[in-house]
Amino acid sequence: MSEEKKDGKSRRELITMSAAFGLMGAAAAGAGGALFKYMMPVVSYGTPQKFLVPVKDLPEVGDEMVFDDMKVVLRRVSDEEVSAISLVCTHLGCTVNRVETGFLCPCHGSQYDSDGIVVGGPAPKTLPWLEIKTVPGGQLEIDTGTSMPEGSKFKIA
Amino acid sequence: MDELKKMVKDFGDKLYYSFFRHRMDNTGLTKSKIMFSNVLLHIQPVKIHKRSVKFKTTMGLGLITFYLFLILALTGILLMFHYVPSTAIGPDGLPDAYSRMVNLRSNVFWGDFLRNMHRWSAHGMVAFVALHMLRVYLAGAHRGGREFNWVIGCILGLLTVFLSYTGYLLPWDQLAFWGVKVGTEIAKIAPGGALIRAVLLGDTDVGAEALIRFYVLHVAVLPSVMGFLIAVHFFRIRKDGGLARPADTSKEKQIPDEEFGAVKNNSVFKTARSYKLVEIVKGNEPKVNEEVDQMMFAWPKLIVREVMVFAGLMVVMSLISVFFDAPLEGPADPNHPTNPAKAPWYFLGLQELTSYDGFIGGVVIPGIMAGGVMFLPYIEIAMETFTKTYRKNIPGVWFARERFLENSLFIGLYLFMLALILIGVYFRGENWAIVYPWVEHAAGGGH
Repeated sequence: MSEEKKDGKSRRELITMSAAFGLMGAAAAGAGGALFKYMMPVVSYGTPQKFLVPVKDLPEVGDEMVFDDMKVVLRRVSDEEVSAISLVCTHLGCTVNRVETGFLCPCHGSQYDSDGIVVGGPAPKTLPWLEIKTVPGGQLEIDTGTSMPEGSKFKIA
Repeated sequence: MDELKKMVKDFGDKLYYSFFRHRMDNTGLTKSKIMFSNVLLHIQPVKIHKRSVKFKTTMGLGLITFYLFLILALTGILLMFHYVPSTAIGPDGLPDAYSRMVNLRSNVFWGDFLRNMHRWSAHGMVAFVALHMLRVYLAGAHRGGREFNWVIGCILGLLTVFLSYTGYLLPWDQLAFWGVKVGTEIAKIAPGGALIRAVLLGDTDVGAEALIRFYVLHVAVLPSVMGFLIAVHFFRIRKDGGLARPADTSKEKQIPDEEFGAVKNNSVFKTARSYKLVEIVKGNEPKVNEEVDQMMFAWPKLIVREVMVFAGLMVVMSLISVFFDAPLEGPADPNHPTNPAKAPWYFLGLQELTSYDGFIGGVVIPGIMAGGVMFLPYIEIAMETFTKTYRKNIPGVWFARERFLENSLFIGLYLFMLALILIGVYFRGENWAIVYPWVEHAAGGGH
């Protein structure tokens, strides 16, 4: 039955067409993939994730220091301990402003308390608390790419 | 002497007929030839339905949108002569891109005017795309074979918005930086968005690479895609049967004979009314429209109207550009957004939505709205097919009673977006808190 339909001509046509379209499709897919890879960034020209703070520059106990460029607030919890909170809003990435009651975002109105816990607005989660390491030479290294549990404190030495 | 005069006239005629392939008189033959022997005019039909030139048919909205695109292309190319897509800090302490804006504003002759014209035309284009879409829908002109062109139109609308978005990054001011920052953060929370964001930004964050990429998209990629789709859009208008009109217009008022001009050949017809291309096209049977009585020559009435709309638009845009300066905020500060940080008005509805929830307001609702509107005619067809409601489609009729429900929903959608935009512009103050404009003027953004 199916033999009748499979005369030489239509089979040849089918093979030719599928070969042609298959090759063109493969070429298009390959070129598309290569183009995508070409567009993907391989190096970053942006600001580095980590930065150093000398221990002797730390604020008094209970005080804070704001690092504008790194969007971090560094808090001296006690003589021995510091903690750092990111100022990047967890909603859509604006920089939040430090106010008396905590942090406010000017872009979409997210509100956080002084520990970065959401108290209002669209923010989905707490401001990230950052990891701090001591490095040789009496310096602290703050990593803005981390996200620690809230209230994380780190020893100065 | 007479000999010389004759030769000069002869030479002049030869020149004329090498430029133009028609005479300049009032016959139907000439009117036809003018239309289809001119590369710019032949995009339009030789004969159009008399409804096509009526104000209420299109209100010229699509035409104005296209003209704004032309103005934008021209002013955009001119601005490129003075612009550098670089964030490097120059000797004046400003990023290069930003100091070029300052330069355009204060030093370059006509620079301020051209930049204003470009910015205001962009705003105008977004507005007129929206109005054009509203007109098409309420007049039912997206149906009756025009469904595919509606989809093309929706893609053109999205391209318009994306062109505006890539465009306002280029000055590298606060509006630019934080607009792109927030926009690409929204992309990040969309499914597969991290890849799109990386490709758009070319880096892990908004910076020099993002500026270059948005620049290339803005001046090369998007305009060429748009130009191509505009051609498709126009082509399909004609192939889908011209501007939408009711199925039978033969009962409508006829055009008086004298408007058609005399027929100077041996045609059996005494006026140019009752044939289309019969005087030019040689074939067995010219296609005679059943509505011949309503068809008129596009030259000169349609063309004159088009030129008048263009002239009027140029006057209005020029006046706006002389009297109102395009906004320019302070140079981009990656550490501090302005407070409040507001997008241009056409994005404030979205910003308002995202201020309730990033994913639902920034991805889900806009996605459903864009997709829903784009495939609206097909949704209508599906509903009609599966519920077996075979109703008469009324293309070209404003507020057709049969489409009451659809029209109400569509107007509702527009009012919803408009309300969100008004809230964003007038009712949001510092830290995006609700303010009342009659108590306190809402500061910043909105432009």
